Amino acid sequence: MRVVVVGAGPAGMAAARTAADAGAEVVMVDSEPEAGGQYLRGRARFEHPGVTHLKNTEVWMVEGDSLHLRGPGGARLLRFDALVIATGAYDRPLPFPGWDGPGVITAGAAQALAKQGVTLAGRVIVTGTGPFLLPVATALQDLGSTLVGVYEASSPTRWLREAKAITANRHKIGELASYRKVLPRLETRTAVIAKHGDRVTVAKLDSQWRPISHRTEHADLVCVGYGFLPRTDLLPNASRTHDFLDVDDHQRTSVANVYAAGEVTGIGGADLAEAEGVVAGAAAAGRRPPAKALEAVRRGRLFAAALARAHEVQPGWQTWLHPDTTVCRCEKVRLEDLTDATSMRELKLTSRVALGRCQGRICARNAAELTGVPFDGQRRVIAVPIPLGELAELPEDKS
Amino acid sequence: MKVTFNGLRREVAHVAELLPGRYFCGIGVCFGCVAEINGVPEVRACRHPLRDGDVIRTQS
Amino acid sequence: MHPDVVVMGAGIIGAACAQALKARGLGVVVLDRHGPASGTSAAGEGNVLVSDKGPGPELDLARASRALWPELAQDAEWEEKGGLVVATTPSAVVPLHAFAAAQREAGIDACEISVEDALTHEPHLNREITAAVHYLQDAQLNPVKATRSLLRGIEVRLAEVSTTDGRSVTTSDGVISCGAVVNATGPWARDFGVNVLPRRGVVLVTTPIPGTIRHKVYDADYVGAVSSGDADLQTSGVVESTQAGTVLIGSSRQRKGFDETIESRVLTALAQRAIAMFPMLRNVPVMRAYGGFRPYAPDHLPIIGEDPRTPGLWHATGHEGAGVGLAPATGRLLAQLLTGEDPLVDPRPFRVDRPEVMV
Repeated sequence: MRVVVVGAGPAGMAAARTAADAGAEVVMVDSEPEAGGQYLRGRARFEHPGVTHLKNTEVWMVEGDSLHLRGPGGARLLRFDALVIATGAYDRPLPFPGWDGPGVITAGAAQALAKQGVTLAGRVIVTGTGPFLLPVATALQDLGSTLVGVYEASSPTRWLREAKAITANRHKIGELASYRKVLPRLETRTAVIAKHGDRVTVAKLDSQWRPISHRTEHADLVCVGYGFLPRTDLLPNASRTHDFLDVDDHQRTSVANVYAAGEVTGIGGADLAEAEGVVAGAAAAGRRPPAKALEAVRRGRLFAAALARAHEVQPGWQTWLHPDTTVCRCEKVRLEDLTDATSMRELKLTSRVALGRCQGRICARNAAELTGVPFDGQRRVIAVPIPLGELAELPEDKS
Repeated sequence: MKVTFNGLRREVAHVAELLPGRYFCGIGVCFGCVAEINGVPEVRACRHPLRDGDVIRTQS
Repeated sequence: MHPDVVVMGAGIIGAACAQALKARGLGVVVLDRHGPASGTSAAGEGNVLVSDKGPGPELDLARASRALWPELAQDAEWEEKGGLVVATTPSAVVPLHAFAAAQREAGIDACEISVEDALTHEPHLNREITAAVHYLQDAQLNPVKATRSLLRGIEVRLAEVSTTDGRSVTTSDGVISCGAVVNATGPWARDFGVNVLPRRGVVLVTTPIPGTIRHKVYDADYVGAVSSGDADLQTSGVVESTQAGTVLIGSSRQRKGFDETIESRVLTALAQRAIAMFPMLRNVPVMRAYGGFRPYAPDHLPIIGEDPRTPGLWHATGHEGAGVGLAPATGRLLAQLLTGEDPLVDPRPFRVDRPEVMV
């Protein structure tokens, strides 16, 4: 019985450990040099005698009962009996005039840099929505940056409707305390809506995120994060909701023998991701998931659902753009270039939006909302670019 | 790190400093930072651990 | 108000039919499940080719279409880039030259050029090629933009059709009465009574390398793969750039119903064929692969005309991989037959009551 886990963040590590403890032969594949994922980047110590950890290895396709890998040893085909997808999520940026120029990066990029001890600027702003902005701001401040502001687009009153979720997840309130140093700089119903050089336009927003007043701040770096988009490339045909993979209470996806855990199923923090990993790892190894983990998932999902509601992106952001504002960075497609298409495919092929190197990972969702076409999710056959020469020489033998 | 960037010698702590406006997501998703690194085209620079002597050339 | 004609399918063929019918003063409504160019039309490279057809009725239709496209495709990235067909083995030289000679007889600009001249046209081409023919008339367009351009001023409704009797169509939104119905549903045309089967194709797309590949370049064995009826996987090297600089790599043919799975063995075969023609592509990354279904008629000819079993039901389908290239003449022929005008080409080879077509 071989369980393959893709991703070595909190969910992937938990799935790998649990499946190995249940007696399965486990291979954990990850694109980074060390386990930990984006959350624990390089700070996790992962060792388990039952788990083979393939580092610096990218999975570019799932085909039948095999994964196509690219890694230090070249291309190889890895067979599995059960597969756990724990590939996580990445920041969703919203476009505004100047977001494609220097001095704008995602909040996740700022955090990844901070975890490597690097900060790019003296005066920084963090703008977006959701509690994940706070650790980013804290990390930047700890590295000596001047925090001009942390701007939360949503209203905190939206959380008042979520008493049930909060009661079930009291520890989340405790986490807030660790960010107390940046709370004085937190402004809600506020967002960066333009940046020209170091001049940043900061707006107060109404409940729909339409600007109602604005001012100018000076900053060298703006870090943007309006929630997260899941990395679902490996399962182009799996059932999903708002692009997050649908799973049952044993973390099974709609694809036979394939499980999913962590932020690829929804955003609820590292503790939920880890609990999902335990459930998925057990189920993938053919065991009954532990009751404690199932209960943690149940509670965590209450919080995740509340989080999604309280920090849902509101349509007023679309008014921040000018006709010449870039929507698609790769192909330099502007708002005014978007066509009156009926489908995503028609929109792409008439405007070139989402047809560049990122294949719509950054812009497709935003372009769909700007034009009203149904968002068809992220359905790509090749999860990472692969040189033609490697495709021509794919191994046929499975290992 | 001492590197050659588009033919010029530069000293930087991180590859992000070389690529303002291109380094964006930092985790290999946006492909904004693709560059030719030590002769290999289409490398996502954010995923490349920078070393002394690296030769980096940005692509169109 | 009942429309004179309901066109089922808003792909390139349905759009061309609608455009030609509207130009003759008829009221037209186009129905589609997913909107303009959402199926086969968006899954191809937008080829307008004469090079891949031997003398016969399909070449006549292709030439008539080629003459009509430049005016119709003004807003659709129309590019008269020319085709370059290359032989890659010594034994392929004689058949390629014979094919080109027969096309010249039929009036096609098929210029046999030296290997050296071929390398001037395409500097990155493999120096090992054995022969080359340059087709000046081959062109390319953006099929989605072309479809939208043809549909300008024509009502397109999002609806799924369940049945038609030639005088009305029953849709997910109710029944529409009309004077005639055109079945332009491409590979899904079998649902309305003609023997059209899906023939799978997969295309690889590379990261941009602008200016590297200038023509549509393909291996002479492509013509054989197109005319084969084999259900098993067949591949041939077909390489060309888009205006954005990405390189499209085909082509594969496979009959396996509407199975959308993409198989790595198909990707591998396409990559091998492309590198054999352009060795420099070895280091270029593929960033996307996509598949589609060609509407395949077992006798390899489009189906254009009225269904003798169901008066009022007209078919325009079965163009396999050549729908974009054949669309304007197909639309015009159908409209001419429907309104009693003299047809621009002999319609008999395309009639519906062929033994391979009636089901």
